[in-house]
Amino acid sequence: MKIFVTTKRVTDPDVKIKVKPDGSGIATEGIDYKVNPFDEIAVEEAIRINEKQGGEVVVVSIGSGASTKEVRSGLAMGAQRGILVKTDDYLDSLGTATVLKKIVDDEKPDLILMGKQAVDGDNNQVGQILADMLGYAQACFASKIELGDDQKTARVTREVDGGFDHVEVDLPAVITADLRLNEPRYASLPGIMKAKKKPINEMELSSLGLDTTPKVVWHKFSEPAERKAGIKVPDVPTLVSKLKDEAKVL
Amino acid sequence: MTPASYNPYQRVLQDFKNAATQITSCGHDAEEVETIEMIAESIRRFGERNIDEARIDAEARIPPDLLQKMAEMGLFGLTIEKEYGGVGLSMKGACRVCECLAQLDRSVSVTVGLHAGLGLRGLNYFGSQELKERYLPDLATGKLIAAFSITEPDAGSDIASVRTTAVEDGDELVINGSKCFVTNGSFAGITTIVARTPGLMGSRRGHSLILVPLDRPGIQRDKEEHKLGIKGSSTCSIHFEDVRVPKNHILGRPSRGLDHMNHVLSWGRTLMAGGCIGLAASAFRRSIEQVTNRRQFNRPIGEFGMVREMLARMRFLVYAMESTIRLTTHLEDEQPESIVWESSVAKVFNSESAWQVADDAVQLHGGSGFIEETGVARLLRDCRITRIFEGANELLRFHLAAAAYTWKPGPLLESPRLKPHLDASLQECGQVFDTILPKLAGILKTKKKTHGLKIFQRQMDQRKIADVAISLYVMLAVLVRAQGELEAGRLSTEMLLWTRLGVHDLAHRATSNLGTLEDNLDDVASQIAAIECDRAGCPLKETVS
Repeated sequence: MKIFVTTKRVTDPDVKIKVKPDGSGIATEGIDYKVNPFDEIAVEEAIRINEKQGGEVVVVSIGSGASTKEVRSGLAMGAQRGILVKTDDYLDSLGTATVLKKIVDDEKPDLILMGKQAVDGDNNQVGQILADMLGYAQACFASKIELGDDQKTARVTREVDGGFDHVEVDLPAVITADLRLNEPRYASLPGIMKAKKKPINEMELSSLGLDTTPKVVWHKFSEPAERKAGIKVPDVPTLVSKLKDEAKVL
Repeated sequence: MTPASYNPYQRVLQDFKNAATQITSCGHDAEEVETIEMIAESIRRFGERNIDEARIDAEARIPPDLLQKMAEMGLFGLTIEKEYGGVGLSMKGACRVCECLAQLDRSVSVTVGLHAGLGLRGLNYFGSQELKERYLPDLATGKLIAAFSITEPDAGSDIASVRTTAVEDGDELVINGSKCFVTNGSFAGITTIVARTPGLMGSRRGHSLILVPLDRPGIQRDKEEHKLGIKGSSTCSIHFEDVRVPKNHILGRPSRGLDHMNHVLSWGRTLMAGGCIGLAASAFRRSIEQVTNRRQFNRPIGEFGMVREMLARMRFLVYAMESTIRLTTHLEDEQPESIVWESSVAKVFNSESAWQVADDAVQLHGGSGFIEETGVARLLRDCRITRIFEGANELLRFHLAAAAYTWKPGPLLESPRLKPHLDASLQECGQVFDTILPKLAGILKTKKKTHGLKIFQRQMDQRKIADVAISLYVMLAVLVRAQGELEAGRLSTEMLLWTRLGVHDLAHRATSNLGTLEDNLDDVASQIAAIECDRAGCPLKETVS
């Protein structure tokens, strides 16, 4: 079984980010980058399926040349090869899905696994758009994935309010990973060394002849308004009256 | 220890541009840096899931399943060449990994660092192809763990006085003796030992480095020692009684063991000094959390001047420790044989700086810092041994000063000029270095003239001279780094602040030591010690200060 799994290079979610003074974007000085955590969960799932079923796991990424590092980290976890579409341009969700569709058309994987969203833009759209463009079934926010014996279907469990939602999809399909699907492994040192020798096919976005002009553009970034300091109230009646008259929440 | 006329500052300044470029990265080249970043990230996760540092300390051992996981992770292959199944990191890269491990737990870091450094350097560097093929693959997977056994009950700093012997018998060596304080001792599968080998292969006297598999008959290990810190790391005595190993297990040249040992120790010390950075960084991180959360007098304690002073010192010390390792490992990259002097500086400076930072961390935590559950007290305990093992800092200071006395006076010492290499923003700092070095040269000259060969006995002078030399080397490391970062367009505002405060502080220490070299009460101190020992019924023969 050939599995595609996407990884995006995102700013380290554990670091506090700052907006550039002119509001044109995020200040990138001294910022660390990591693999989008949901993508890592997808990579882990792909590798687990691969360990059972055999076949191939291909890590696909779109981004600057520096994104090879994130592709390489998927290879260090156990994927077999990588594809990197290089561009320094901003792509919106539609643009990203357009590029991915082109790669899928060329490579024809049996299953596409993605993180449910990237933690930088938090758009949560690419998987859905891609499935639609390809005419594939989609099962988003997977907390469990079971492949059918014939490997032609997948039964996907999704966590919903008050219970679980079970979906069965025909393959090929797009499945996006939620937080509790698995706990991604850490790469071992031999794994990291082996990853250096695994192939990464790099191509320029401009050479693919696709229209990826963003439909969604960023106009301005700003810091969230600073929270005002709270006040102490002497007793419950004052609290109730303030909630009623000032906050107007009662 | 180093050729006469060798001048460590000259060495750096002669090749300044290269050093400035290299010091900005934590690996030998771009590829290694990428590998190390991936390893660092993996280690962080490995730690999050598997390492419970309080438990390691309380149980005084690394749980066997953790040791197993460390082996599966490939940590024991750090310094083993790829062809034998390891990662083949440079010393620079291995130091960075020891740093990452020490951020998680110092016992884990020491266990891996000892294996990768002291434990393996002899085999890696001096071992024959045959020995490497036989042992390295198992050492890379952690199936075998390495130890290094030199210390004996009556031979510590005076290592030439070891009593363990290895005597030829046909194709074999027969080893007899006892080694103590062997790190990794209880679970190591192989060790490098230093033994007296009189008459070996025609030599009249001397010592040899010998690789001894620990599954041989005649080997007995004592129980674990009960220690002040790094309790999780294993330390025990190992006794050798008629232990036979093939003669080809001699590492390097027979009877050149002490020279070879110095080379091996320069690796061990540097890796250990790399680990000190991780411990200090961890103490610093906890301190920042503490001073921003702990409120007294209606404000976070970080607002108070005395607290800020401590935080600033901790910050630049961590930076200076890192710069010192970067410079030293860069020099090792250029010329692997000759960083004995530099690695000793790195060991002394980093072990003492880490101690200072860990001590400040306890202080900033107040009463709760003294309580074990808080975790910073453990950092202080874990840190203490680094000033002792792999060459007590006093012994290293003796060697550092002795080497300084052999530097050729005159142009060689006075000519190093740092200032012209530096950007305008750093020139003031460079001037400080350029002012202090000639002063040291002047004092070395006067002392030699006044005391002749007695200078080698005047340890109180040596201590101060070593400290000035250390301050100058660290100052140089910090400034090479600043210039390198600046050229790479990465010198941030805060880095410049650390550099300025660091150089100022180091200059202050150096100046103070230079002052007391000329004006001191060393003879009084010597007298006091002599009186007390005399009173205890053990009069001291030498009263030279």
